[in-house]
Amino acid sequence: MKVVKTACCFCKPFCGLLVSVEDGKIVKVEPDPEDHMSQGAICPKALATKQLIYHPDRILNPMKREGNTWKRISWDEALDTVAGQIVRYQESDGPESIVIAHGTERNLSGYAERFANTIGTPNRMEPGGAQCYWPRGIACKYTFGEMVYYLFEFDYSNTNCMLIIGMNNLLAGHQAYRSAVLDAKKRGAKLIVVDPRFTNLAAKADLWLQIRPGTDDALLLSLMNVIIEEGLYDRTFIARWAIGFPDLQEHVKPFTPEWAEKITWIKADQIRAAARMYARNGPSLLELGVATDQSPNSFQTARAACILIALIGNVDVPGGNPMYRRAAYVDPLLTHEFKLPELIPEERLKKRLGADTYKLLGGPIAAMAHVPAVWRAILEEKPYPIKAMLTFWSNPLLSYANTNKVYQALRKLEFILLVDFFLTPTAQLAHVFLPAATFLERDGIANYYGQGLALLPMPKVIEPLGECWDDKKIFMELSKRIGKAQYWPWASVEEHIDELLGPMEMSYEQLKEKKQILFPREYRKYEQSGFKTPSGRVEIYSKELEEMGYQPLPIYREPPESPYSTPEIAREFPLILITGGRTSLYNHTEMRMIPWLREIQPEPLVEINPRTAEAHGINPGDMVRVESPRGSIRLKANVTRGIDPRVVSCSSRWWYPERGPGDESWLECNSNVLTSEDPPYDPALGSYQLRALLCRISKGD
Amino acid sequence: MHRALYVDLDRCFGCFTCEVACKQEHDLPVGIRWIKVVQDRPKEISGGLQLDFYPAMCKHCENPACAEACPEEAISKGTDGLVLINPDRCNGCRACLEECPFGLMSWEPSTEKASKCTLCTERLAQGLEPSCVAFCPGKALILTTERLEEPRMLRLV
Repeated sequence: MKVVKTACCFCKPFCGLLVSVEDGKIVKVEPDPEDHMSQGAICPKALATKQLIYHPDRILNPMKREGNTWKRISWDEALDTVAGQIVRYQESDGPESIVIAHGTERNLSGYAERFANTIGTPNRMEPGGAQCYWPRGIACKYTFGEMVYYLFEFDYSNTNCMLIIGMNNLLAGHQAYRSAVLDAKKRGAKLIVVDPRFTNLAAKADLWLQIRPGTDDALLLSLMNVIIEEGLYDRTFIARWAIGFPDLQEHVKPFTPEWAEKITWIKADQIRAAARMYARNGPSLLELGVATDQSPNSFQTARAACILIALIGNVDVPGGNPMYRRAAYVDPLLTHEFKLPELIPEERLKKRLGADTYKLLGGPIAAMAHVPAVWRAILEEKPYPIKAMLTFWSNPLLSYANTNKVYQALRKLEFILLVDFFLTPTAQLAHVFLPAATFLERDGIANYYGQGLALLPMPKVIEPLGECWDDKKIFMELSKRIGKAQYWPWASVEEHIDELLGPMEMSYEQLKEKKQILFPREYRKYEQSGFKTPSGRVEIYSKELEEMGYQPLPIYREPPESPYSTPEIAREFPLILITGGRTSLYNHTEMRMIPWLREIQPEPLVEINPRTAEAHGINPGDMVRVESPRGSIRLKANVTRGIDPRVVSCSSRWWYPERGPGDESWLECNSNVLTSEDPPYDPALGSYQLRALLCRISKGD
Repeated sequence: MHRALYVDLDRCFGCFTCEVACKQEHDLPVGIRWIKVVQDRPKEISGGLQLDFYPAMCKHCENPACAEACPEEAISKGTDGLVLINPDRCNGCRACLEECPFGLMSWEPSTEKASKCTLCTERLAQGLEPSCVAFCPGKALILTTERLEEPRMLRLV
């Protein structure tokens, strides 16, 4: 038996793993206590990896769909078919008529982007993007001058106060942070949690602010109001390193805690207490989750969080929000040199759907199409038709808002490729299926959330099962067949990784021997070189944004569908709906077929306050129908005091894989049946209101 | 004094990692859960809510009711304090399942025998901690020969 050191790839932190292999078969997957970032922490998903790889329903050979049946075909036939379709649409309707839809991070997004550029389409999308990480990352760029994917790092080991907004980082954040949050608490650090649900994390908090979903922007503005009015901000830092403070001071005057209480449902004295705790106990860190990215005010909310961090001077300091050490090491998969954006001519770039309207989404930083515009291009063929979708590790029927609309759009497409492990619900609309290797069946490198603190190899542990292929090989072979081999010129995956590591003067073999390369954290880098903004300082007031036609100072916007902005809808649908709650058992739409995980949570749940449940005659465990203006689903009642009587929370994006292909559980219990991608959108990024929508409940059948 | 297993209620956050660690370690089929994470309903305590999590597994009792109930004397408490089932002697009568006051015994349809937490005897023999303890991401589980008196330390085993 041998033990191989590698890293998990179910989500982004890439936790270190020790994988035991016997006769070419994985027998055990355990955490690696020597791994610097995860420090031996692990989650249930990683420990159940074996059951994913050897799952009886996993598809191990290329297939094509004929009517409702899938027929096994050779790789040659599959690749020729897909390449033929790509060339056909490139010629008939232009490369822009093909959309690249990729999903779940399998450390491969950079490859999908390079492939999109290879075939020449400006239209690439994922369910996240404007609904995840870009608003936070780009807000950092316009405030601090650097693109930081998840709004900084979080220096839990040195912090005295943690303000965590819109995320349950005990279940869904970086592994190492789980223990670190608790260690910090034990040390006496304060924990403030902003969440509409009494989450596992909220249960550990000194102060839990039970916010009305979708109003984090109002809370952030009122926290600034208190910090400025009470003189709790860092005068020295602001005077030396920030511009626009007097404008902000004037701007936030009306946003008192009393003003925010009416909007957020959080008591004004609690807002004051949180502001004081955060500002007085420094160094403090702020972690902002995906929740606020899923609102039509995503960018301004993230800007407000950035400015709050700056106000108390906790930028790039120990115990605060350090900025990545980008200078020494940049993830080679995230560079322009790797992604090859120059392959798309200027006039075709202008065709990127939504790019003219949402300047921070479609531009050179994010380089993504606006999702609602893609559905419109498919359904209405405006401004031009999209005819084919190449889908990599994504399950659009589950993962995008407004499932009924997505279904109509996918059905209208002339060709859909799906690259994945299983015949997911989306497969019933796909034409060709290519079987992907799991992360233990392929080689790669990773660097923890793109943070640049460490670089580690992810060596292949076993050969791919059946005829499964490394996705990188799929991209290479497809490129050859469409006459673009020159952009994927490597003879093997190893040779390609060697080239990626070239700038570090290291080969893949050498990296595997070294196991892990660490880049020490450096603080207060701005003291040497300033911030990389036009002014060289933190831009509280952003002229750049103003010139683009966006708000130079953060603002509050009431969610477009809410009891206050659409009282007429609220009469019919009086409850506020949450659909984004995470568990430790599942990642997005994945893993519902894993027996060890499914046994623990066998079905999707809807959290309802006891008062609300009683008013609707619902008992714990009853089936409940949850309806929104878009559709309705059935879930099991979880009656809990951990949620406000005016709010309900549905398990995120469920289906029942055991029912087999062709089943309609994606309509029956998938929370995205209820959600919306309707306008209005975030003016800068095009994010739509995916959370805090309206719904009603009734005892189900 | 024998080893005892404690959970620090301030550190357990109900992630279920211990459950799956146990399933993998002992290759347990669906339906057999030697560990179950218990989640208290959020309770109202002095105006606020409190929510605790802890794993429940065989307590390796001082006077094990399961051993007493077993007609085949297949269950015994060893000198190391561990209550273990000798599968060769178990006849699958399920008397122990009925008598365990905590409902922490399992019955495996494939072997038609009782089974339960062994505290990972094989790992202990190698000087390793049980997998639930070793892989807990919150470092909430503590196996110790000392008596832990802090109010938020709950003795499990």
